[in-house]
Amino acid sequence: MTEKPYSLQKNVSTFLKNGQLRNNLRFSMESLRQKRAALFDNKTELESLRELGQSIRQRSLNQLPELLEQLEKKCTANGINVHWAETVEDANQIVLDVIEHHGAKSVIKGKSMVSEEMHLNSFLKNHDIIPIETDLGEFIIQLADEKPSHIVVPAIHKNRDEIAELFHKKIPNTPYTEDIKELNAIARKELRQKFRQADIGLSGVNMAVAETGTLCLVENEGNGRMCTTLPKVHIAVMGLEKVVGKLVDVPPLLKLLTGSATGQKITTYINMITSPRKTGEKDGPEEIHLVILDNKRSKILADPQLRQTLQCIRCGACLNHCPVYTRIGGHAYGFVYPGPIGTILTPQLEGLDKTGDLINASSLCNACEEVCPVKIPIPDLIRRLRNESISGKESVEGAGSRSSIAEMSVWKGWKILNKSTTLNNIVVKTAALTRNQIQHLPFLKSWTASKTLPQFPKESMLDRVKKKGVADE
Amino acid sequence: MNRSENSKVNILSRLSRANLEPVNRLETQEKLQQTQPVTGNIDLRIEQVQKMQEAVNSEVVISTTDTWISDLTDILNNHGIKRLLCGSGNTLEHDLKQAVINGAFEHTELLAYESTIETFKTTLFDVDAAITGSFGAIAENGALILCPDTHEARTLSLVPPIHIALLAADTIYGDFDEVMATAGWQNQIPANVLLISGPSKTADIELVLTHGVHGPKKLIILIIR
Repeated sequence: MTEKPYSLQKNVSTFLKNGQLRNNLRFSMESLRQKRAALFDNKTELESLRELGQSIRQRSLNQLPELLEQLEKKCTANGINVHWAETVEDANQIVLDVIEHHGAKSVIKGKSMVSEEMHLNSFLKNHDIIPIETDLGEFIIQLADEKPSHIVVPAIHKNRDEIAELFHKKIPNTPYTEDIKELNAIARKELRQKFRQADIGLSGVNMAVAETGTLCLVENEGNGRMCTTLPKVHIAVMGLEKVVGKLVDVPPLLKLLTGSATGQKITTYINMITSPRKTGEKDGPEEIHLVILDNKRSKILADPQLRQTLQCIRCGACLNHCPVYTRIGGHAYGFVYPGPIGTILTPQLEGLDKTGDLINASSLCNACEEVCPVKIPIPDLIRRLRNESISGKESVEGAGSRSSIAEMSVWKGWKILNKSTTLNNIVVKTAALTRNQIQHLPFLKSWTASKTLPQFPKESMLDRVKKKGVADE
Repeated sequence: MNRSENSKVNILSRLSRANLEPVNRLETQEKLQQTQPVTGNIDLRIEQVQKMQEAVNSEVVISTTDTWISDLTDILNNHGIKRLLCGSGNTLEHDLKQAVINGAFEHTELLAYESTIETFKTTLFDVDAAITGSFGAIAENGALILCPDTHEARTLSLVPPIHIALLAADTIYGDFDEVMATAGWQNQIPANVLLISGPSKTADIELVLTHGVHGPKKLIILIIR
């Protein structure tokens, strides 16, 4: 099955037309930006913290194989089963095997972007296992049969009336109400039964500490703790880049994560899991499975510049500050990860040939780089990927796939035009004379569709300088 | 070799070929991660915890070793708590049971989480409130630190709609870095460490904050001097 490559143009056209989406985004992104700014009000402190975060993440990546082995060793000693998966298919199979081994028919899920990357929910459904999303945002979009549109607040694109309608239609015995407290109570009631009965819980991992074999999870709702504590079996899925070396690395990264994501000093719950139920404990899972997923990350690691992509702690700050994301929203990016991080991660995961158009979803304004808590130079990486897409060094899948003879000819022509004074003069004068006719030319359509063609002067700047001289000569 | 072991070999071999350079810990990192000298006396720390927790709708009561039973009674009455769950086989359970014998908690039935969750689930989901001790707290963000163990189950502070926590005032740390540097967890970390900074909440619908989602709706902290 060949899918058409991702088209930014198409997606932008579609989503810009959605007035409600644009209103929702404008309001909510502004709110998240303000919250973050209010918390990080001391610039010097913030800068030190960001440098620390960058250093911790870079050090982890530079020791990745050792840390992963140490993590496995510690986890295993503590009773956690560690599995390795090269591809998302492998990861899905591991999860399925655990579920089927226990004869379970459903699994309650905490929010996990890696599980979205795995397309785990549709995989499970194809194998007659029911995935039950328990994070409120994920719960909402699951009812709507949609994908998350934001890394941290998945249902940010939905209004209360849409959610009211959804609950009323899809949850049995539910009246229509737009009151947010009531909507909340409906979700709570609906999910409480599921928490009580679940045999298997699945979660992501915000960071895994190699030193002690500890999985750290952050949340506000309590659904994560429900998924990782109540059922007999807990499955944790994790991208292999999420490991950190030491316990002391956790507090600064948590500060950066919660502060950048929602402007919180700390989330309601920080859950640090090191072992399943110990002898004498009354509760806790009897089995914990950690699935370590590669899915091209080891390839990304190999390139020293692109490796910085893996520093990401999935805070979503780059999304909230991106002038493109805040206008088109997450679904317009077509894949699991939206926003600036999506523009650099997706082409490296899915190939520049299929998804390379994403690298155009940026004006290189640098807002994302300025707010990234671990100082990923996203615009530099976008530029690198743009280069790779034209004349790749084979570092990235699909490198060179976007080079085109037409574009190369245009640049060649441009070079000639600017090197020859005679040619240049001719073109300048012709452009000035024929401006009103040129503007209708089809190849200028993408400019003239939303902008007026400038008036080309009969006399070039160079000519005028020659005639009049420059004031301070 | 099964598939997972095979994958592990492949993954680690790819990672090892990645031209990685050792990165020295940044100077600033060393500075920032040095144990901060203990700043702020106990009163300041109590004040900080109270301020941070109350800002997120927790209830904080400052009490003493002599008066906490009566303060707890007030809390139970004020919130109409008819059934209170506590851990089992620890000092707290003993003290509470003793208080009951002495006539405290007239309107509240005290139950201990004595059996495994498999047989205890109905009660767990049915009680009005649970009471636990704590490992300590963090002044900087107000977080309560719990280390569930064989006496106090993990779900005590999760399932019942009200969570009452006892906090000894002299176990309040300055910040999380201080905890990591001094708790000795590098060598032996508890099976589950929880930082609890308020009642459960969400802003997933239009970013409007609502309290009381899946975790407890109310968090009440009794700080004991």
